[in-house]
Amino acid sequence: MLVTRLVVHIGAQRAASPGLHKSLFDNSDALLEHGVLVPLSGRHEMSSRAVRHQLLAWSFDPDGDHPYQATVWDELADEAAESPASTVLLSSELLAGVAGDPRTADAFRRRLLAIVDDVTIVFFARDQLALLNSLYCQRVRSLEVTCDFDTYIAGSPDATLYDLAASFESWYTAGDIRFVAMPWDPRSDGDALPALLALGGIEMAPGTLLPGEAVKDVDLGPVAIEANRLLGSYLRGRFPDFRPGEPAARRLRRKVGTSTESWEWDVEEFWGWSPQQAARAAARYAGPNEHFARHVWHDDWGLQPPVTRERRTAELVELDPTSVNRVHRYLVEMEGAFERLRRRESAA
Amino acid sequence: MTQLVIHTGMPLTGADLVRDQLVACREPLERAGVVLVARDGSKAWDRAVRDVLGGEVPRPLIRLSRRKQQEQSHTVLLSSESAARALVSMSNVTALRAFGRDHGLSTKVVLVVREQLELINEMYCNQVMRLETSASFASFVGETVASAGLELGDQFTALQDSPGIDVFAVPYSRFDGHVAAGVVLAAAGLSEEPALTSTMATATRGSASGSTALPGPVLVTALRLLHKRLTRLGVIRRRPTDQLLAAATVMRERARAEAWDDATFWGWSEELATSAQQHYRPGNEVFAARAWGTVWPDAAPARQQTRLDLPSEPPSRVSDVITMIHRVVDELTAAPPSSGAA
Repeated sequence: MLVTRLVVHIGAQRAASPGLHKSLFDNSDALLEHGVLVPLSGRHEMSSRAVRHQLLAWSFDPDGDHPYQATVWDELADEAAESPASTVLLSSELLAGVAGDPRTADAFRRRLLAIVDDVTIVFFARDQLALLNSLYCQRVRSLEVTCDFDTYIAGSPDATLYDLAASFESWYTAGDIRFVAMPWDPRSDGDALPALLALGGIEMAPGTLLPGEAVKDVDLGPVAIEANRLLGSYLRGRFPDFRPGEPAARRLRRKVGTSTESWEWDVEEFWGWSPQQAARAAARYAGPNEHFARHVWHDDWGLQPPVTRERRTAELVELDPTSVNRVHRYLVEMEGAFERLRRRESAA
Repeated sequence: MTQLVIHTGMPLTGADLVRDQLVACREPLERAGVVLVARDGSKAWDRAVRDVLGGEVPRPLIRLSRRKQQEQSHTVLLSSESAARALVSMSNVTALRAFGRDHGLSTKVVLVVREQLELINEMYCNQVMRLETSASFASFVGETVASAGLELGDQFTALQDSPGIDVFAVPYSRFDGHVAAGVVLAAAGLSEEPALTSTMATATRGSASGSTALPGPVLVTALRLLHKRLTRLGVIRRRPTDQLLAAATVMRERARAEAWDDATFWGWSEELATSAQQHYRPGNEVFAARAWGTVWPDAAPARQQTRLDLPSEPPSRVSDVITMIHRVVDELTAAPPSSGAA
């Protein structure tokens, strides 16, 4: 059967992704039985029980600090051509950055339309304040970022990307590709796969899919944020050739994630926005959000920014002695783990 | 006529520097009729003041009385930082007045006073540098302000109002670029010439005032983190002070060798400084009006707070700080409780 349709979930980051990627993995066979291919091409090799087509996104950035496969889109096209499925379903929240970046948007569009003419892009929209807060936590946890939240917000491309009108207007007004979206609240909205399929126009009989497991997307607490910021900076100092994208660092991220929970840093989550900052940011995004919502789902934006939430951050040197000591032990343990991972990588 | 001059001052107003300079020009001073405490150490000088306030004749005065004191006027000059704390008390002021009266002495007190914001900043740094605290600067300020120990208006009212005692207040800023002992001598109406001949005369405020140069924010942060770790491990409680000081010295030397800091620590945020100024200003103005008949001479320093976010520092510095803390903690926890340095 010839592929007649391509559905691409592009994000947003920190909106539905962890549960969705696992659910896609669990339901790949069921989807294929219904004519939907979730390709093997472009999947990130470290995501063994989840489907993330990160290599497709990374292919637009040959010099980036991540795995790179120049032929990944060609391999995808071959896999689609050889498949009995009529629909191809891709998912990578990193593709939002590719679509929203004027330097890569056209090339991305061409890649999609080269596979098939009928392309639908699906986007789960999330309130930017919570999204950026969560992204900061993720970037600290993955040792990419060591700056404080204010510096991150002031300088990160993330803050620009999630001006939805500026980043995606060319997609949702062009007409050659369908751009669909829905507001997403990770705290209340459930399994994202049925929502993704519905938005993509993929019909599945009730009861066909395995129910998605609740993957709680917990952000770090303030002490854990400080510990991981310090870890990122410490590792860069101890190992001047450290790169967050190197294999040992990527593997360490998993340990960082596990350890962060097992170290029981905090009960409550980090919240980097002061109410004043939050109000300013909410005002900045309000206009573009309404533009986006009117054009994409033909309604009001509807997501309420949490502008009154009190800031909840920590400062390393102001922590109590027990926490300071724990942070230091954490650094030592993670440094040891990183050295072991590097040795293992070089031996392999 | 013999006169008694007591030099004293608020904390960190160069008392050690003044005493060292006076000791260094002991002979020229004696030739000019100014007699000092025979021994050089601060304890002997403090004891001499305690003797006076206790009604006992201090040794320099005994020495003087044995000499031909009728030939010319003489001065007994005592210098003691702790005298300022004693002279806050009405009973001690009364005792000093009685001493002068009973021994026929003209009594003068040279009191060095200092603008509180700079003073508190330096007090905090000194405590951190001696591993005495890991408290935040704001918390230190809160305790210091609440203790009322640095309020001038109330502190020295009894002394300033006392008949028979002449009080000469000197702003600490007057030491800038001058020989501190010479400033004190001049304030008491004595010739500053002997002090200017001293080998210590080149040491002016900040270079030998008993405290080394102020630390930078990275060193302050490192020492606070070290203190917290040592507190958690029970080391602060168990180890003698000399071991802790040695540990702090190791950190300080590392900070200097590796150039951790390119600025000195300044803990005042604009908000905190404004609040403290509002607290101290009325007392300072009362004091200044009584002491000099003018407004308070020292403007509050307008400096930017040196905020430090350790994870944002250059990674090589972060790893050096963390490694040094590890090393010092390891050495302190491994060393026997009574032996050597960290």
